[in-house]
Amino acid sequence: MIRVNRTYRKTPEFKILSDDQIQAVHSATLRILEKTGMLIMGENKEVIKILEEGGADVKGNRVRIPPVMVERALRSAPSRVKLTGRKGNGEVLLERNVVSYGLGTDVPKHIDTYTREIRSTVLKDCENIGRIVQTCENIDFNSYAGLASDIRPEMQDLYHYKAANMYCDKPYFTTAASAANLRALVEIGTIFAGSADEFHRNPSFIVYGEPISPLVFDKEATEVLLGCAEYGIPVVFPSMVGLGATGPVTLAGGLAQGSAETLASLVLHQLKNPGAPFLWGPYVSQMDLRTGIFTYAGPTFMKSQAALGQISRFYDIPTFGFAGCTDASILDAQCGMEMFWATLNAALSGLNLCHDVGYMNSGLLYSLESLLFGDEIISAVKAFMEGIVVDEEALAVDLIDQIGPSGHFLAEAHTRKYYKTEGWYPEFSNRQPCQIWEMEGSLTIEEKLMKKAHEIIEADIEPLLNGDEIREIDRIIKNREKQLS
Amino acid sequence: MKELFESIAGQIVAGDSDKVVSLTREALEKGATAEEILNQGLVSGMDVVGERFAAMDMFIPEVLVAAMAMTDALEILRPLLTAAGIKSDNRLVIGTMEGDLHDIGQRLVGMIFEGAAFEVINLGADIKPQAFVEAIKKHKPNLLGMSAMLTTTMLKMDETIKLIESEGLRDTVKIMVGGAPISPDYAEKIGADGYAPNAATAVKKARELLASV
Repeated sequence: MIRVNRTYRKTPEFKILSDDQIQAVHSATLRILEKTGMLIMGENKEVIKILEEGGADVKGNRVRIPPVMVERALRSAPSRVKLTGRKGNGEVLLERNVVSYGLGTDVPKHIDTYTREIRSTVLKDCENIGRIVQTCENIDFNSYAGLASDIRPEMQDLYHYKAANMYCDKPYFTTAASAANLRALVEIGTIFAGSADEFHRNPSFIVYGEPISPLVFDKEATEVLLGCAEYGIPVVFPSMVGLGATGPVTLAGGLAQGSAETLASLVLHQLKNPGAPFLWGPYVSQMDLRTGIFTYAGPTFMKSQAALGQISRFYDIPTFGFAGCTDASILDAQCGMEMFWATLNAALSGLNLCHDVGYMNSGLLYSLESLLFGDEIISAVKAFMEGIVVDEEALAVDLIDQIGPSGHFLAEAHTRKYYKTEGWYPEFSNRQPCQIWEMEGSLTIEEKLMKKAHEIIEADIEPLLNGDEIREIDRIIKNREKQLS
Repeated sequence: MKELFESIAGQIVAGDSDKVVSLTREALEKGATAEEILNQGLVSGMDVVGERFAAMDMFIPEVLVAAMAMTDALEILRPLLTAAGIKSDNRLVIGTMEGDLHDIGQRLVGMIFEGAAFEVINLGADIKPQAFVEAIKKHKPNLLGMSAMLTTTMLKMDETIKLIESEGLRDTVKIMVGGAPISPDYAEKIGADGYAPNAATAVKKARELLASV
């Protein structure tokens, strides 16, 4: 016999917009770019010149972008971007239907893993974060997740690079404070790649910058954007649309505005160097109109992320997403709910570079424990996204017959073969009966995470950067410091 | 008259500018002084707004509408207050540091201060240290607010305070700083008088600082 008409679904499928709704948002995006356009701040002649020569309507420092320019940029931008770890370790493939998780960049405060105090982030934290990322099998890319308060701000990105990569060689996500700092980062990347060509083929880091909502390009950030285009380094250039503050309060309008700002960035970037790698995807979320913070969690943000996943597939360009982040200031029930929701949502929405794992308090706070917790959450989401295998072996009708009524399955070969892939085994989440849990000291998940964090950061291991590499990085940092002073 | 003041306060909380303005005119016609209207009507209404905002019982757009109603009524009262020789209200000059265009927070703070009866001169974003100094000379504020979103532009605060000192203006003005990367330690280190983590507490802190003058 033949079983026919069988459709298999491997993963859950999730859509929040219809095709017509996507088209409507896109149409609004084009109207914003054509009707209102972007304001170019800070004597930025190069940006104005590039856009004008590319066909934009320029009046003073206001630049209006016709749809044809957007379409051209979307055609020339690659649909696939690849990042490789510094020494070929780890690959982040940014393309349709591939979801990768990793860390975010600037966080001013850190929860001290020993004292539980909220204090300013220091450089050592970035190094410890790297140590932990290296051990997390579900974290695909690293970043510094801090702002080292013990380093002068103009040099932070370069010191962050050294600290974050000392014990971690996964692909790296970074900001660049200026075009000159970007050059220094490229110099460092080139050393690791062995040659400029090799670095160009297999970049080990991706750069973050922003237009300013609503509809403004500033000088420093666009210089970094153009630098990335020139060197062919992948770049993420999302705007921050706080609904009701830096954009309209309505989600559809916020999506259109954020999309317009990010597409304007793409247009500029592709005019500078057609085909250079670019990640699309603005931040569009609710400004909490009681506290004034930009939320990193909650239903409005989750809906926006889901919509952006669909719109990016419509544009066929890899997208930037958020995952494992929370507005909570402590690892509590709110933190668990929000980190999990964002992580699952990113997978369901098919976002590509999903950053900010472990971000707390809307990006103001970080902790080693939220990072480790994020790794466990991603592991759960991965298992969920595997879907349900439905075949003869999994239906196990013969096995059920063989065991028969009142038997058990505990010792079966079938059980031993599939228990790990069909089930999920957390490292930190509690599954002990309360009597045992009490006997073992009534540990909270935070206490378990702390213990693990201490084990990792106290381990006596060799740095992954060797002496020569450290000297090279130090030389580049010193040169840049000299230029600044 | 007490009832009229209460209505003004109530309409401030409701954010109805037209009614606040007409009730203010009515109170003046009935013989109330500008100072009475200001303190017993407008400010008392804004005090309620401030409390409810702090308790998360009012939302920013409602607070701003209340602040705008207050500003509209103040336009009528200000010449009368000046004529009566009443020392002008608090005056805030506020701006975002050079190189920084992130001014949504700073604009919000400015509007909340307007609602707290401060005269607010908002210089906007990307303001050079020298421009802050010139604004102090021109507007003679008793409070200066500086905002930065980036660690790199935050450094301009230090530079600006040093310039204000070298121009001999430091004693004329209290200085407050704020923004995502700013900490109370940093504020103290650069010699600012105060720091606040959000708009509502900024007003409270400003009043404390100015009361100590």
